[in-house]
Order: sequence, then structure tokens, then C-alpha cells
Amino acid sequence: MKTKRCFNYFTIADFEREERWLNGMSRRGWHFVSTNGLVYRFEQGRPGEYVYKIDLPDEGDAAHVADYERFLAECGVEVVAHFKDWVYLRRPASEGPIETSDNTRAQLSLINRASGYTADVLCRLLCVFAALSVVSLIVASLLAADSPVAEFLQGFGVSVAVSAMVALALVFTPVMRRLRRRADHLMREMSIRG
Amino acid sequence: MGNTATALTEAVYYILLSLVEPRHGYAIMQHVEAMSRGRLRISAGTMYGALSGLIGKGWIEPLDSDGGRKKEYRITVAGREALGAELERLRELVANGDRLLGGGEIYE
Repeated sequence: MKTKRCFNYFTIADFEREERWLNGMSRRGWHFVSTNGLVYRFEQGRPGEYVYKIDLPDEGDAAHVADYERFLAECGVEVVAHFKDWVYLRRPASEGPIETSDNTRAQLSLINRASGYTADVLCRLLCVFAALSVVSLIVASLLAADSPVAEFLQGFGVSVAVSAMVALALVFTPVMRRLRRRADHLMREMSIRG
Repeated sequence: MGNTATALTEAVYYILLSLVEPRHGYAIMQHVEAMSRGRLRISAGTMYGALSGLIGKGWIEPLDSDGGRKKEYRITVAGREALGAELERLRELVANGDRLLGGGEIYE
């Protein structure tokens, strides 16, 4: 079977665009099979054979991954790939779309989970960098004050903390803002059409 | 039972209706789609979340399944009460709409 790899990058706020891209590829006969977040692998097949959907099972469901995936399989939905906590689902296009496309409630709940997931990732990264800088400061304080290693670690500890926070803010702020805007839009929509 | 405060979502309303007879997940999806004449399609992921939420509320219950078979669910007494309250609410909506719009002639 002919396969190909494509390089692409989507932020968490772009998962809907990513889904449209995968569906577009499938319509041209390239069916998505796996990703590592940057490289997407496709297998060639009949154009338009599948519809794809990207989902983020909520924490409760993630605790029963096996049960969740068995349920999906019973419903004729195949879990094609996993990336971090995300799942890539597909089913034969002949059986229609995976979900009514104007299902605002389902969209909003997915956006909310994506926001929570983003906040979670941000917190974990902050913890890692904070721990790193604290450790280097502690090690520095244990060494003789005039040792070059202590000086390096002190400078390193502080600069790592500061630059990590700045970098994380730069990367995450636009992502979270876009998720929030999308959620606001869907919420406004839902206050009119439940 | 005073459970009339908020509306059920369309999906939950149709899932509960489908479970008046025992059904497994996929059968519920098909039944909902058929009842709504193809208008409402609930994704498997949404269905999974809805079913666990409804079990948590005690409105539906899973039936004992013998290992490999698909798990079936059925509505409980509390679920029927919630459905009854919702039906009452929907009747009110329709009655008011009919009264003020002249019994649907407006849709002509």
C-alpha cells in the first residue's frame, strides 16, 4: 500500500482546522493513520472513504480508556491514532458524518476540554521549569559561594525561570485566547439555540 | 418530583426515549437518528459521556451483560419521571405556541 508523510503543525486551538485538513486529505484518497504532532502519515485508498474526527475524551472517560474505545468500536467508530490525550477517530463516509455538524453543545464541550487540557499542559510545564530553577539554586547554595559552578547555576536558575515564563506566556496566551473566543462564540450561539 | 426546572437536551431526551426498551449504544444512535428522521446524529463520544452521566443520575441502568456481548441500558423509574416532566414542559411550549400563532396555520 502506498503511504506518504506530511509535515504539518497545529496548536491545540487549531484542532478543528486540523480535522478539516485530515478530511480534505481523505477526500483526495490519503487516509490518515498516525501522527507524532509534526509528521502525519497517510495511506492511499479510495477517495472519500472515511470521515475523520479529532476528540479529547474527558478525564472521567480517560480513566476507562479501554471501555471508551470498546464502546466506540461497537458504534462502528475506529480509533485510528492517539497523540498525547487526543484521539483520532474515523468511520466509513458511507455511514454519514460522525456527528451532526451544527451540534453546538458537543462542540462547546470539546472546546472546554481543550481549554482545560491547555491549562493543564501550561501548569505542568511551569512546574518543570520552576523545579529546575529551584534545584539549580539549591545546588548553587550548597557549593562554595565563589565557585564558578555556583555562579553559573545561580545565573542559570534565575534565567531559566524567567525566560521559561516569558516563552510560555508568549506561546500559550494566543492559544488560550483563541480557545476562549471560540467558546464565547459557541456559548452565545447556545443561548439562542440550545 | 419538582424536577421541571431545566430542559433536557435534545440528545438526552431522545436517548431516554430510546431506552424505554433495552438497547446498546449503537442501537440508541440508530434509533435516535430514525426517530428524528436523520436530523439528529449523536457521536459515539457524546453518547458515551451522556450514558455515564445518566447512569450517575440514576436515570438509566446498565443491564447485566454476559462478557463479550454489547452492553445494554434501560431507563429507570427516575428516568421515566424526568422524561414525563420534560414531556409536560414540551406540551406547555407547544400549547402556547399554538395558541399565540393560531394553531400552526402560520407555517402554511
